[in-house]
Amino acid sequence: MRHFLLIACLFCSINSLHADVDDIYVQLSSEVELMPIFVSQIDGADSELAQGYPESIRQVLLFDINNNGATRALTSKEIASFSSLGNQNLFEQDPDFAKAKSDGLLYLVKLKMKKNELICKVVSVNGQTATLIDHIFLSGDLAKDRQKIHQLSDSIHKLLFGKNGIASCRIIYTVKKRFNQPKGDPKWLAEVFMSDYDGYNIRQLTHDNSLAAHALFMPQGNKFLYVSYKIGQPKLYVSALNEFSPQRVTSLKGIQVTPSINTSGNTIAFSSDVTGRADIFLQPLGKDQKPMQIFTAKGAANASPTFSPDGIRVAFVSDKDGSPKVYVMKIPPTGTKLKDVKVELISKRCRENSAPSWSPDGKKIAYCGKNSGERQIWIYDVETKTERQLTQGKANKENPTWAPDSLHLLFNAQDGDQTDIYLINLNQPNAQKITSGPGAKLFPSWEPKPR
Amino acid sequence: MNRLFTRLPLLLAAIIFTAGCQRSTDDVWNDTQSAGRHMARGVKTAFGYHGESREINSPDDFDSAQIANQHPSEFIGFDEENMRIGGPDAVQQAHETPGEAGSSIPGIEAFRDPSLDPELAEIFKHVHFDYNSSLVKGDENMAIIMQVSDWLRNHPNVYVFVEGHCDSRGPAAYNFALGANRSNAVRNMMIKEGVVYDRIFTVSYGKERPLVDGEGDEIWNVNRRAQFKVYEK
Repeated sequence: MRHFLLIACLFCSINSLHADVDDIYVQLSSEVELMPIFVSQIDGADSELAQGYPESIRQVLLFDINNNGATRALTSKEIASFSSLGNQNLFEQDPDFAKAKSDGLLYLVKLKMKKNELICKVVSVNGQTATLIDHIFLSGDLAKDRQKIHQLSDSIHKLLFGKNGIASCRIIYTVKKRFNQPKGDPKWLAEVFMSDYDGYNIRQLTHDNSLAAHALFMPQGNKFLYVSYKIGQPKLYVSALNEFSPQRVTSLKGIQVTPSINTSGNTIAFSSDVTGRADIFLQPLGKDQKPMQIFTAKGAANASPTFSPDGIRVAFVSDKDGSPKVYVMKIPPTGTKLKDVKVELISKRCRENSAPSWSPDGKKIAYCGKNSGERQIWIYDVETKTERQLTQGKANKENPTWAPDSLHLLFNAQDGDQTDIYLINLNQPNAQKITSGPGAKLFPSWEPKPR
Repeated sequence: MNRLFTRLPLLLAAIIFTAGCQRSTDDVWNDTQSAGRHMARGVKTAFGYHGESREINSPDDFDSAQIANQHPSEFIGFDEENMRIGGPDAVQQAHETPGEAGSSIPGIEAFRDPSLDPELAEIFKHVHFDYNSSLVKGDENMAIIMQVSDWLRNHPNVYVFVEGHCDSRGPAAYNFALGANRSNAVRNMMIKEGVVYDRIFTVSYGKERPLVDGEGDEIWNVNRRAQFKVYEK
């Protein structure tokens, strides 16, 4: 009997541990059903632009429609199977609404060129109405015209769903490269770059000839904040987007890294070692404003603060309890005793958590965490206090950042020697790689509002 | 009942062993370290040892008061009482920042790698760290810091950057903070060995500047380091 009890205890203990390991890995739930949309060929009979150019434009639009987390463009095979779409590449031809409805279609997007003007007609099957979006004048230079197509995509999104899309947002990130030296350590340089959200129209923003990290847009949209090592210690700088003109943000001594900025744009948070270890600080932006220490723990490394959209709380990373984890706390008012600072642990399901990012709608915190060897992107639901794994696959994924719609995310993923930026949304878990080429692309950040 | 008590340690060992089989070596070691730290604190507390707290007999005994006094206008910190909780590992920053406008010390580009100087290479060796730790441990690492400090005391015109680095396994953002703590751990020890704090500066590169590319224990050990750059005024 005693032997049986011993074995039973052992069995139960093992099973309870196995249950924890099984519960940690969350399979993605079934995808949200995306609204199928017919996107016509561009009727280019009256086009002044080069042959083939309208199709290039259409491909930009298709990428936006297929990656907005809400719609998907019908494939050629599907179009061929729908009797209602047989003649719908003709811009002026109205659909057979009854047939279109029975085919399960809700919207058709029809396109035509008139000289260098792109005209778009969004047809509602249920409403049997059409909305015209015109005055989209194209230059024939795809790099310039892409932004106009992204704005068209956002207009279509607004028409269908009543809220802006994110296709016209830009993103910034750093590109880091290694340069071997004839003697001594290799030299590593990183600069800040900006591009469209789909990775096109890349433009270099910084020219420090040094190591840059953690770039992010200021909420006003016309400036960016970043970390530069150009004088030696990493310091925080702000520069205009259209003219590189870096200005120091704070004269605080020591290292400053992993900054973030609140929605109002009047306060930044960052990690600094001015106290002799990496602590979390707030810095009001303005004259004669001192940084304020808001978190410290003996022997701990604290980093990556991110503001809640109401500016009342921060999520951050600390290894005060061993492996780095994500905590949330209310920003303590000046004069608070350290022992009265209360933090709440939110990342419980995996280890080596880092880089939290609070969604603009305040409902989610994304971060990276490691289980089973690969670092994945996780989402914490602020309301239900539950975590779920968003990404799968073998590459190590880090530095998630939310788009203004709180649906899309960017992150960087390392696959072998290559590190690139990936685009994902909560309704379509397949990630799109949006960067390529030499150098490691790191620390992506979204423009806070579409242009 | 006696048999149950004698078999209890075996049961616990079996549970730990079985649980360990389900996770990687690093995961088990990580958790074992955390458990060990908590148990050690608990045992010490039970015997009346409360970490690094000690009886304060006068304001001069209060090391942390220096923090509040060093740069009173620098930042708004936690109040004096709680700086005591923060402990004596927080030390004074240098008055000047290399490379800053108005500084008499140039930026890090003017600092040289001592490993390229045969005389200095033997002194300014790299200090290495355990995974996910900023504690300076081991006789070899202690000896490096002591010999570096000794050399600097004898060369008062030399300034030094202490760079903190991490291996490739940890997340990038957190590694900037861990690298900072490694850098500061070495700096703090050098100050305790008598090097003037105004001559030592910290920088953290996280895992952004590995010495050696690749994966594996040997490469990771090399990359988890603090290293030095020197400048003679």
